[in-house]
Amino acid sequence: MGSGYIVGSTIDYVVIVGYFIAILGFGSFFGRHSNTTKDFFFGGQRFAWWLVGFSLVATTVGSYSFVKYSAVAYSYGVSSTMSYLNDWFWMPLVMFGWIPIVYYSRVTSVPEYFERRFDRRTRLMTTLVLLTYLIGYVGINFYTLGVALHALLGWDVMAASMIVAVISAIYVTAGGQTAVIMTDVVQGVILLVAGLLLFYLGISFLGGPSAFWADLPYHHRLPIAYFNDPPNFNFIGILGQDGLAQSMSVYFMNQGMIMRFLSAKSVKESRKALVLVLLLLQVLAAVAVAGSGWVGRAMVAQGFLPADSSAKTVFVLVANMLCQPGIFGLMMAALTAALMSTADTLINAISAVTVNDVYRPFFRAQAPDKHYLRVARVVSLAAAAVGMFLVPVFASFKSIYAAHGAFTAAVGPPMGVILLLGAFWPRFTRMAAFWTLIVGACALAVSMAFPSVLEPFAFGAQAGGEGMRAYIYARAFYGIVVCGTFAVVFTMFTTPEPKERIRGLVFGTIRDAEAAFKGGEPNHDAGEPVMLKATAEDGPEEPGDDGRFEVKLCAEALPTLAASAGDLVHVSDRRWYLGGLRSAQAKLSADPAPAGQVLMPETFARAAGLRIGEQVKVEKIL
Amino acid sequence: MSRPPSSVPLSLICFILLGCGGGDGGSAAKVAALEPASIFNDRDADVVVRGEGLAGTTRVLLWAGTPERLQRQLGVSAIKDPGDAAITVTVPAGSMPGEYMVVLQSEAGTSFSEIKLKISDRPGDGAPEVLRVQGALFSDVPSRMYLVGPGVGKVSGIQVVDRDGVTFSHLRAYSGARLGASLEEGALAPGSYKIRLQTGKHGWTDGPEIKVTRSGHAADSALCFTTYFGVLGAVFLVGMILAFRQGDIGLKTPGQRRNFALLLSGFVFTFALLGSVQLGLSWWR
Repeated sequence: MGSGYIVGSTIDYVVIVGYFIAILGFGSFFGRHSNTTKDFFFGGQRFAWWLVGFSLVATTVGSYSFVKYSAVAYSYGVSSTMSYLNDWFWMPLVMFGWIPIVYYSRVTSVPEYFERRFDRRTRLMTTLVLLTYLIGYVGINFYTLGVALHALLGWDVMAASMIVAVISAIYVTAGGQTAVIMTDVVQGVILLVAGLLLFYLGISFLGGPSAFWADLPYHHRLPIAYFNDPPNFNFIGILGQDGLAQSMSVYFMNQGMIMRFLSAKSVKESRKALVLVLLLLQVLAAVAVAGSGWVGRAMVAQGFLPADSSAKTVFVLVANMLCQPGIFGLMMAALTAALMSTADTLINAISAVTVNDVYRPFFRAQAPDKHYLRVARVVSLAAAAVGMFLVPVFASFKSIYAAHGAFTAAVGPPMGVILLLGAFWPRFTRMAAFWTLIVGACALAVSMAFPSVLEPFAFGAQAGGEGMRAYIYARAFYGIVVCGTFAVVFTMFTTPEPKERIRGLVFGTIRDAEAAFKGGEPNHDAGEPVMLKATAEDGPEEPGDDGRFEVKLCAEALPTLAASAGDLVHVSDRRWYLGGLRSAQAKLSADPAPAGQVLMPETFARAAGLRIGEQVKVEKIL
Repeated sequence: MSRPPSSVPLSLICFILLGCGGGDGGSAAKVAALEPASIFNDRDADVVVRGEGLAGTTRVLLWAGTPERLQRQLGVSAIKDPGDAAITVTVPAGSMPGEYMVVLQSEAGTSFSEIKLKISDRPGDGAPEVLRVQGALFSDVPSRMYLVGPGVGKVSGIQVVDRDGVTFSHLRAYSGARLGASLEEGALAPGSYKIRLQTGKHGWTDGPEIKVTRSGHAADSALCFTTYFGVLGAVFLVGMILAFRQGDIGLKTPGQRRNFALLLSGFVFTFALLGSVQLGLSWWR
């Protein structure tokens, strides 16, 4: 019995192993671009919008997305995309509020923002919360992939987790944010291509688009779920949990997301990356992760799958039915890509929070940047090691796994609410923030012990489970309402913050943040990029106090750029497809360069990876 | 990373069948014979699985495909007469023709047999007879039903009795005993109707009664539509107003205009994407 049936063929294994090796080599290659903590955490703030956008989509598509969302798609149809397509309405607030605040105020993490906007105790509390969440989440990612690879390929859970952890740790430690971005771009493309290819193969298999659509039950074709039924997948629940709470967490509190916004060469590029993600890549990702579920449902109607097929298995079933050897390996590589691209971001984020929010403020405040870079690398390795250590813990004690989820659910809404109010409501006070965090977490804990308090927030949806699992969707909405109410009431009874203290940290004071970022009056005059010949000159070995080198431009370029001395410019390799990999920000010197040239210190050219004697692109940032 | 090839597929199969990493593939169940080894698909057919360790079997599947690739899977009915040496299962009418290996699931794990069950379309040109109607038909939205029974695969037309001109479209035979047919939206009011079936040899013959109901979708979609764009649109609008006041969007400078256009197109894109036009129309109707 059972002999001779080789579902995963040799070529599939070649594809998967080849993928691991390629990612390891590719990620590690970018180690040479990480010479400072700014490089390590924020990729030197030099990347183009499309690179940031593609890497972001790989980060947001999580380790279990293919399995989870194809299951939802199989069970509920097209409305499964709601989870991915509810983020658009945050666009103005993120684009014109949060991104410029973190970028121009040089905020490196959510806890740091909390200290500058509120106080140190709020920072301390959120640092602890964030690190607990991130470290636990790394472990969960490794564990879930270990389980998936064990089930798919028979690898030992620990061994599979370790392979992924070691690969991620090596390239993140070597290359930092640059390696994360570059590998995530590749992984993002792989997972989109693989998911969409599977969907296309499925439609062809079923007899074309009209046959596929005809065999999808009507209720599965609806783009939005039913209002409050069934309990475990309904419109109002998804709107509250995914649309409001989850999206708020992702775009405002996710450390990996913040670091990615900061890695763009300018605020404008970050905004464009966000638009790319929200309006195109998330849509493609929604189809990529759910397509196999829709195909699976139509296959049931046509008789290719039994009606009682398990939703959890539909991705693997459909992939196996549709894919030729090699392509099936690509699907499994995509599954792995979804995990690694989330895990590498988490490792880098843990390193950033530990160095910037723990080590620097509490252990060694005034050390050379090289020292912090070394610490960041050690922390990256340690984060992966701790994540690995958690794999057997999660495997043995399911209650710890559940506790991590409960902990996240309890602290997420209070943190999100105080961050949002802090960023958009100048009247919001530090006292209100601190107590909202405490009271909000307690209120969420009460809802877990007494789920009946959630009933008024469920809009008629029935309890979908017992205890903590009851009204699981309503908890997010309850958390937002309760925390929001507490925050407003507390604020009204406390003294407003002095305007000077919150300048640049609240929506409406962005111009102050721009001025502080630039070190002078911002220049928003519309200009065009210019191509100039890069010429080296003797200059300082280290950048100035603001962390930037000065470059000199020929006088005739200034009107085109609409720039003047003291403005910030971005100097990049002329090859667009490098996406800013060879580039850096600089300050415009008052001294002119010879005609057709840009003069730059050799150290600057080396750090930016620019080739002396070649044409480079110069554009004004601010 | 290297594993003996034989252990690889077994793990994958366990995952596919059990959905959670499954058993270790070490089930004691063994299939020695199938009785009969060949059946027709025009009626439900009992098949006796003979072998060892079958008593704990909880689910039986039929799996068609090559060693490298699953082609299709069939579920069979609940197990009858469970015993250690033999169990009886029912293969539903309408199943696709082909050769299927038998896959057994139990608490101990999953096992599969290379002894195959052959399912065939029954030859001949008998009049169509509908045993079952699957799927739900709606009056207000497009919907599809599936007819199962002898000869239905040869049906070339379906009409509603006493409703001249109301026909089913997109007829497609999935096997000699299973056919899919679509009903357009608004073609029939809620109620019960008799249908008749057309074949080349027998002309029109009486078919079963079908039920048409309202989908109940329109009112629900109106509520969702209003809430979705009411709640999220309000947040979006607040962001737009704030950005306008801050000077990031507006109509004065090219940068402002570009930002404004970006946001607006985002809103319109999402509106269209989520099928709101469809939802709005169904509400209106």
